[in-house]
Amino acid sequence: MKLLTLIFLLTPMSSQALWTFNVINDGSPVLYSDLLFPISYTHSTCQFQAAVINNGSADDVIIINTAGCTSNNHFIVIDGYRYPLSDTVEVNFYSDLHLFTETSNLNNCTSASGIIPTDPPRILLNGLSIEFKADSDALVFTDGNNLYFKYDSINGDIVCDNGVEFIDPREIIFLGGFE
Amino acid sequence: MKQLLLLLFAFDSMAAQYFYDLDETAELKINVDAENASLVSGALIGPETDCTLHQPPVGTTPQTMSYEAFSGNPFGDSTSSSFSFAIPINKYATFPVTTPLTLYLRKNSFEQPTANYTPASYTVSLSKCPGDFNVSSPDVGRGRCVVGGQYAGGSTAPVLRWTTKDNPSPTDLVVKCILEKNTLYYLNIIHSTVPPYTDSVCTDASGCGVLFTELIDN
Repeated sequence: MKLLTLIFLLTPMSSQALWTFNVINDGSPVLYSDLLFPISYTHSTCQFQAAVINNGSADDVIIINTAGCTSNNHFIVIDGYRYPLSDTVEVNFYSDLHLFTETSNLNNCTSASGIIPTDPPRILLNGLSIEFKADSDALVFTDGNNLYFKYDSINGDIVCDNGVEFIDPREIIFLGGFE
Repeated sequence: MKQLLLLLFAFDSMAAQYFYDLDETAELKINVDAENASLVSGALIGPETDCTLHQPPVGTTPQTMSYEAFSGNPFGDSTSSSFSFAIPINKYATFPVTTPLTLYLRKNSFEQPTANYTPASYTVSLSKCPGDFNVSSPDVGRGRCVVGGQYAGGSTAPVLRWTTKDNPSPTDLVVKCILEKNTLYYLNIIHSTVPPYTDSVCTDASGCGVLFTELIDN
């Protein structure tokens, strides 16, 4: 295996770009590696997991959601509206597809601009495909015991029947500061 | 080609594991245009711990649980709380917990669960590795970090005592598990009593119970 590895080391690489995975703590990068898709999240273990290449070896980065293992506290947020995810949800993040297994009870979704774009990069959730903005950060964060997967669709105008208006708790701090 | 090379590396070396906590200050950002994923955290808790030599018992799988969700308090914050839960056969429960920033003295007792659960003996550990019931070296835990849990129908309730003392006494090292402050540990529980903890003593197909209590210690 080591000989085979060496042969590949001497072979010119293609120009295909790899994603990078950073861990930044207090403004300082502590890990900077190539990412091997997917980044996965499983509610049953409350953990994100990603394989990365770090100094030439494959390592696992495990992100523990210590606050969020209870039921009914996982949500997907799309264009400012919040929808519950089931307690069996699994998510796999690929380069242009964020695949949510299990169901989210969004019910009927509409877009003010008439159609819901479905091109990559996209979320795929319970058969519903939604293109999201490629130049903004899809975000995962916690608030109390809640875990949010937050997206902006390409047109930013999707509302589904079961949506509850979502105010980002991190923005409330700034609102208060300017009042 | 590059992906294939990376896969070869993956199979050619033992993967190290890096643990981080998605706490209230943390965000996982994924940007398609920048081809970048970032975990931005103000409270990184997981120094590298190599758990390759501290594996769970063969044939078991984890049941990861939130300590705060069950206890209602962060690990160590409660001086009097208890909760019950079940662990299926051939699984171990593991609670990722972050130790306090300051000095704490606590004891966790493990008794016969409430009538809702089938009782069975169990073993409990505190280790930097999930599912580690040997805690055999100081890099994952110092002192007495493994105890036998309640024996069904027994009269005693073994206690796992722990402290975040910086300079534990020789007696502390014999009777307590010495934990580093602000560090990620795993509270592990399994219905098995004899190393290497591969034989379950739970006979109920739906799982057997655990009663966990956290109390102040001295």
